[in-house]
Amino acid sequence: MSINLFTDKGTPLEQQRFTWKDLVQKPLSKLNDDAFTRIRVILMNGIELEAVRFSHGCARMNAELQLPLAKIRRVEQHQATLVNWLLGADHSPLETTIGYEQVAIEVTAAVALKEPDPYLAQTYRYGLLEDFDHMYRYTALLDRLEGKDSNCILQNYTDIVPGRPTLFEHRDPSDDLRFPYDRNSAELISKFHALTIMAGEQQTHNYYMNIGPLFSDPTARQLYAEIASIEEQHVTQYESIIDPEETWMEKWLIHEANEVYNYYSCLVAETNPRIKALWERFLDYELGHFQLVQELFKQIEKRDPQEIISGKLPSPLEYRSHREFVREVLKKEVDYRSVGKEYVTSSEEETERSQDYRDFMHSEGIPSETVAAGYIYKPGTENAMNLLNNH
Amino acid sequence: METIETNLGINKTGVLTSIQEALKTKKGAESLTTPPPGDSSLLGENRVLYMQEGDPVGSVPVPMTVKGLLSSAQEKILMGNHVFMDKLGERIAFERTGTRLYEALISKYQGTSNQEGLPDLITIEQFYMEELKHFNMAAEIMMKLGGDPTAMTPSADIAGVAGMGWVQVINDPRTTFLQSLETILQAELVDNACWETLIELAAHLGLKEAVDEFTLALQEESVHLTTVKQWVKELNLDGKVSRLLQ
Repeated sequence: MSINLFTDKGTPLEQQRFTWKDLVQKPLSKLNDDAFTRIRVILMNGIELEAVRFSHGCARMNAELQLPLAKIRRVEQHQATLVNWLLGADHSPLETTIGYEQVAIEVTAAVALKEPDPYLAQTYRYGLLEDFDHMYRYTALLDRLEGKDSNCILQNYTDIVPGRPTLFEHRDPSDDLRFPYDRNSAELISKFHALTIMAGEQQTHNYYMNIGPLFSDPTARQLYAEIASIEEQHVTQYESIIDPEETWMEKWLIHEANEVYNYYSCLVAETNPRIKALWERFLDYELGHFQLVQELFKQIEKRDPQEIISGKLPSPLEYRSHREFVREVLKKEVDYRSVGKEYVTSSEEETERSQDYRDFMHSEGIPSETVAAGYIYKPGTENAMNLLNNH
Repeated sequence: METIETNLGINKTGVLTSIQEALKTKKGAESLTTPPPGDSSLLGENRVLYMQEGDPVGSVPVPMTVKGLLSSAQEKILMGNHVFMDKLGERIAFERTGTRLYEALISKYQGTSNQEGLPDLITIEQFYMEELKHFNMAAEIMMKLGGDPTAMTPSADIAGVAGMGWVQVINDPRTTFLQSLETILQAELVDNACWETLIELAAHLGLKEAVDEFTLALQEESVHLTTVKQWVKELNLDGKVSRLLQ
């Protein structure tokens, strides 16, 4: 199966309709569905929410685009709803958090491996080790607060060990910004990667900001406050790799193309037939959006959209365990730090501004250290006997 | 939907789903983790710290007017014995939520394709009506004491938080009748214990009318508990309830 953005017309916008019943379908099974199905659901919610947020930003700056933006945004709102509502109510907010961090690890690893630009690939590996550490901290919280094993969500695909310790992730904003790709020379896949990871981090940030106050335990409330702060840094980092010189229409076109690409990647990988049919339906919806936007692009920019987007989609994102790759990155790059927009290989080279910022934030205790004090992951939780000793 | 059985299928949550990968996770954790110093007691210390700095969830509304025959008790309440009003507010809230739990259980009954072996719907509906009656009776006593039955007292608030899981389980279309009934059993266990305490509190304040009304409620709640407990046991063991119970 291959998709061509310009010849595959998809579903016309006027045929993209929903009912409230359609929006609220039966959810995934937390117990039986594959963890990668949940990963895809979480990521695609993030992609759609970014579509909605971008669309609003664009509408505020471009009066003539407000109506077409509003029309497509209405559908994207409902796509986001249908997708996000696939998460079952038996996920506690903390279990869903584990799912979010698994997205951050496995999708960022897939992107880092595939990214052709070495600097961008480095950026993804850098962020990856930070989200990887969040998984360890949240696993400790899930165990110590709810008495649950995060591996029930991870399903043996993802390691649970410290990454770059969260306490070292807090940086001065000057050390969070990165060099953007060049809109004229970057490959299309690089633009898709940047948008995808930025969208994922943005929804994670929003999610933590919404659910953090739902916890009663002080350390849990503090941990969400601390990690939400890092997710905000990650959004800052990842949005800065996107070329700010792209025009509004160019950005809109790339958004729609990226949505096609991501639904296509989900469709190819999906193991649940019901969800696979949804990915196919929404792939067709996104192709319909792309058609409209590329026509608008031609009218407004008076140039061929194929100047910035080739018709053939890149090979799909790989949804699989990246355990060995992550361990390799961890071994080589855990001490990396960012200095301005560059990376340095030793923590010794870090800036004073970042150290000063962090020292003050940590001066009344460090939640990510408190929650994981003495914590080493064990199957069945830290209070379990050694359950796998006979294997 | 099946009445009793949970499906046997491909549950992917355990380590035995993929033992080789699980061993990698386990051994990786052992060899690659240098944890921060300390242990889980640090979470406890943080709780204590915040307790020392913290405020309570809220206060008990002060009774405003004197009505009926219970004014002598109201004097005691106004003198600072707010426990009774707090716990009475809790019962009002709990019974009110209890009616909604039973409504959801009735939906669960109606949505179960094979109703053979389920308890009699009339009995479930009777329990529902009794929860509703207890709610209004408790609210009336509250008004007679000059209290506000629409206010949320601290214990009512906390009971609501504690019961959030019950509401989630019983309204989830995926849960079975039996899983929902087990949720009702949890609520009835708590309800019985709390009515017992409230009766003692009322007796301590000399609230005879309240003691009488609450005792009647407890008798009915006691029947709810023993019946639901028996149903749960029989549905688990035999897949059906005994006809003798109905």
